[in-house]
Amino acid sequence: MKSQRIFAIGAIVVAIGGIAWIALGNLGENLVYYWTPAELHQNAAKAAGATVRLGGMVKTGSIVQGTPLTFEVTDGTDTVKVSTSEIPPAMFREGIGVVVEGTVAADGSFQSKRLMVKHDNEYRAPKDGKMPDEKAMFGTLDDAATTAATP
Amino acid sequence: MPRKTTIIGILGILLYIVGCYDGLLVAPADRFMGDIQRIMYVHVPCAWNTLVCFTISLVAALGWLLSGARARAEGRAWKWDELLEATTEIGVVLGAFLVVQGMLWAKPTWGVYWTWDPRLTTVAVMELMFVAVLALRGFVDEPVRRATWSAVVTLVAYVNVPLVYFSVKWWASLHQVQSSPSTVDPAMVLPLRINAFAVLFMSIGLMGLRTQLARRQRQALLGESDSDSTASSGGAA
Amino acid sequence: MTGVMQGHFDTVLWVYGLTTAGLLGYFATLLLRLRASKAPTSGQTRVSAQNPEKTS
Repeated sequence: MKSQRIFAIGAIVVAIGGIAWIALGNLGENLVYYWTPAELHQNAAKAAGATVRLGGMVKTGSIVQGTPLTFEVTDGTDTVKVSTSEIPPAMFREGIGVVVEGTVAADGSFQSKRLMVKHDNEYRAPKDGKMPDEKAMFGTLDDAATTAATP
Repeated sequence: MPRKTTIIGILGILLYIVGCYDGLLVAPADRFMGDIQRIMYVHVPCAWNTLVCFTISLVAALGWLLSGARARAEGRAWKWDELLEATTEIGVVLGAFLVVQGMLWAKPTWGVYWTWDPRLTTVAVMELMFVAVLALRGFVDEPVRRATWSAVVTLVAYVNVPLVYFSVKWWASLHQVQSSPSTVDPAMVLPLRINAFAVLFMSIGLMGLRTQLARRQRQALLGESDSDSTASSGGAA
Repeated sequence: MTGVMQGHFDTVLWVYGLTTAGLLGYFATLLLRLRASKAPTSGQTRVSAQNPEKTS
């Protein structure tokens, strides 16, 4: 019974240590779901030829309808041109967060095979009438991108 | 006299009817997502209560592992094992609902049913690890060993729960971060709250039934079918 | 392209329906399993005998 309790306490220590390690350690850095445009530029060598994900806001005024659909993804500092032949989800609009999956072309533009729209945590009735300002929309990006966007 | 958990469970069903009515027909649609946002009123309560169930599993696991020799000999420690079996199963069921609801919400809004973003990945791992706890219980027949092993595996599986919660804060994800009353229209907060308590209360009602089932099955296994009281059973075998 | 979603109320009804059906289904299987676990000689008195100490 005593050895079992030591076993239990050991398991708790391992569990708490595991959380701390993931929270503070390297694993968090490796768990990258998407790169921001700035990160994509930094990791250009790694991104070449590979399927990567790019996340950011759809730059205002950058959407050009057609086949392919083109628009620019920005994190407030850097911008990447994206083109896709996919039909975007209905929520797609200027200033919304998107995550695109695809490859970087030779000219530096992003060829997207999959276009995903990111929703923020705001839920409002339409009668508010107010469209969210772009600064607030940057809140849907990760912290690094947010601080970059508001110097 | 019905048991307390049954009364709470019935209260949960009534609240659920009110909450779903409010969520489907009374609350306003979201300005961008429209009606599809109403999925939130069942999705988020399932998410919260999945985490609540697994947290009770953790408490039950600790309760069993830290129970003394006397509590085990007198059979008083079995209540922890029964509780662990109940809340783990109910948590897994709610977690399965959570994933299906999320996928049906994600397709029209995000554009995909599933993507390996940190939130979805951690939820999938959590769900599978608690399924593993149930599977382990199915493989081990000896009750004391089964209780100890599943309690230890539960401790390890529980690591996933804070990871699920903080995944959207720690890592860049497609899933949005947690909402708070300040980011949700008051008219939408109401059905969300009602259904959060509704699912919690229904889960408590189910826990009452599920612990009873766990007790009966263990007693059948130990051949204690003559006495249903836990006070004198348990350690006999 | 307005950025606002239209329709999908049918999807919402599906999600609510599946969730409710899932809860009811789990509840039903639980009752069936409880009935199956009952010893043939047992009656209501036995079930109620354990009530006072039941907590959750």
